[in-house]
Amino acid sequence: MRRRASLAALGLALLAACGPQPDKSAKSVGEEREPMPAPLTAIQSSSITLPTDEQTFGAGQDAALLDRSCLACHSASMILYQPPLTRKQWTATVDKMREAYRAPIEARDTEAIVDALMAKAPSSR
Amino acid sequence: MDRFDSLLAGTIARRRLLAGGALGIAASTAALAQGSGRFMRLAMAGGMESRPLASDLPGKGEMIVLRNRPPLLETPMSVFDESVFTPNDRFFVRWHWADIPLSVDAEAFRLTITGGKRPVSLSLADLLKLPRISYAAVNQCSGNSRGLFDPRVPGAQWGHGAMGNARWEGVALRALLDAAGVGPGAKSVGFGGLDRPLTEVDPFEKSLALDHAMDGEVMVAFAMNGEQLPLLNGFPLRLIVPGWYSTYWVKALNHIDLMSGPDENYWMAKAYQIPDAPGADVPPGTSTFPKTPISAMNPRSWITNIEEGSRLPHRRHLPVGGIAMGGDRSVSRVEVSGDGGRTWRDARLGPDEGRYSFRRFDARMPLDATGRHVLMSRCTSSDGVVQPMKANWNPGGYMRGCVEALRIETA
Ligand code: HEC
Repeated sequence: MRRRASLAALGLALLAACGPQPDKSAKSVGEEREPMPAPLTAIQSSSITLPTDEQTFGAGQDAALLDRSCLACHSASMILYQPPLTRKQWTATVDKMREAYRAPIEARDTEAIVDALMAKAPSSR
Repeated sequence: MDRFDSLLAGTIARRRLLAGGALGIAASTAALAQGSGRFMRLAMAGGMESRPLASDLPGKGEMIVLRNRPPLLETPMSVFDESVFTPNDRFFVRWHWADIPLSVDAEAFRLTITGGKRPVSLSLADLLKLPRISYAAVNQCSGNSRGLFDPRVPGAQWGHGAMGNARWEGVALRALLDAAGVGPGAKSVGFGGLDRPLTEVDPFEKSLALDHAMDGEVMVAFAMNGEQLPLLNGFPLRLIVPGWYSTYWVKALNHIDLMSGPDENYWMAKAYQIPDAPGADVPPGTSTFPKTPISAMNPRSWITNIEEGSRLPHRRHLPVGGIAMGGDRSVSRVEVSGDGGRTWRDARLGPDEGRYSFRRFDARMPLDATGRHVLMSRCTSSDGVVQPMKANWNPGGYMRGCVEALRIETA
């Protein structure tokens, strides 16, 4: 019932709908505009499967610490493709993960994690 | 060991579960190999960097993979040379939290609107029956080209391909809000989607001022280049905010809320903040300055028919072409330079696909001598804003808009 009422209101509200028009002042030369696609008539259910993501930080204690601390929410590439970050920048990043995104890491482990990042991720002194 | 252990095990298991496989974390290689085994070299500040290419992302052709979970996929520049419209299967992808919708039932899906005079709930079939609008618009990540920031800044290290241009079709947001009934206290409109955070924090939600939301152009889109949206680009509905950065183009949009107070959500109040300064430009290294949420885009242009670092046979007149955008205005002029910006000549503009679209440009560049050349393009928008030569800098790596240099050698 309620939905029907709002749909009727919508019909009324939409009399003068239009999109922005092409700018006539800038003169185009040469080729024609691309053909307009046909209006969409139906929407089908959709589902996908993402490829697996097995990437880790590799072997050793530093890697294990980063695997535990940094892979819960995003791939290792988020970290491994950073530019060389300073200790200060990595510390700020780890703090942000813990404080803003509630990464399951303890504040007291920050230094060890930053040490591991300085060893395993792009870093500059 | 500590109280986070079980939460950690839980979230990893959950992300691994979202990954569609019951993989342990024990896989022992740090190799970055994923996808096709092919790589692409991207120009970044400090030199060229290599990134994997993959064609196994569902609904996607070959893309540059910055991150698998949640996906960050960049469009190779060559795609922009083929058409001003970016094909859906090559359109860039950016999600924040790993719990993204991987399956949507088109019949069960509802878009709800709250905070108005009456609650509204619409099925996709309902939306398809409503009067429609359609236009071309560039969708560009706020951090597009972040990898070119010098000094470098943390964040997704995009080249120039975190952008795309599509013809969007859907229903004007204004019509939907009118149907809900905008009360006198409404100040802004919030937008949320089907993606969820993995921890107890604010979901990824954005908002627009009421006037903007009611401008008749902001759209709830169900079609992209004539087809339903790919799941990775926000199926079944996406908010289209033409002229503004992609952060506002909420994907898998399922909830709209008329709000009477300021929006305190993390993604509006804390993230995506730029310096409140012309061109979002502050001295490198600065972090204390007045901030404001990012909003409208600036003019940009890229040469797309030649790759950075190319060695080409010498020609007296080198064909140079590419794409330009005016930001929130149309493109009124594009100039090109073959001498690093000392002299400029007008390029010929391709067909006008609308104010918010990419626009093609082409020119023949006279090159007197063989050797190294620095090619450039420079866009002027219809309100007279010209791309500056100097790059802007801010710690978020947002709103790059300067003239880009392309180094080549002819022999
Ligand atoms: C609780 C989830 C979570 C965990 C655990 C986590 N991150 Fe993040 N990370 C995020 C989110 C959310 C973002 C921002 C959204 C995006 O960029 O997609 C992000 C972004 C980043 C970025 C991009 C720069 C920025 O500031 O946004 C870096 C670098 C990063 N994380 C590093 C790390 C490191 C290092 C660790 C381990 C110490 C880690 N993350 C653990 C959720 C997490």
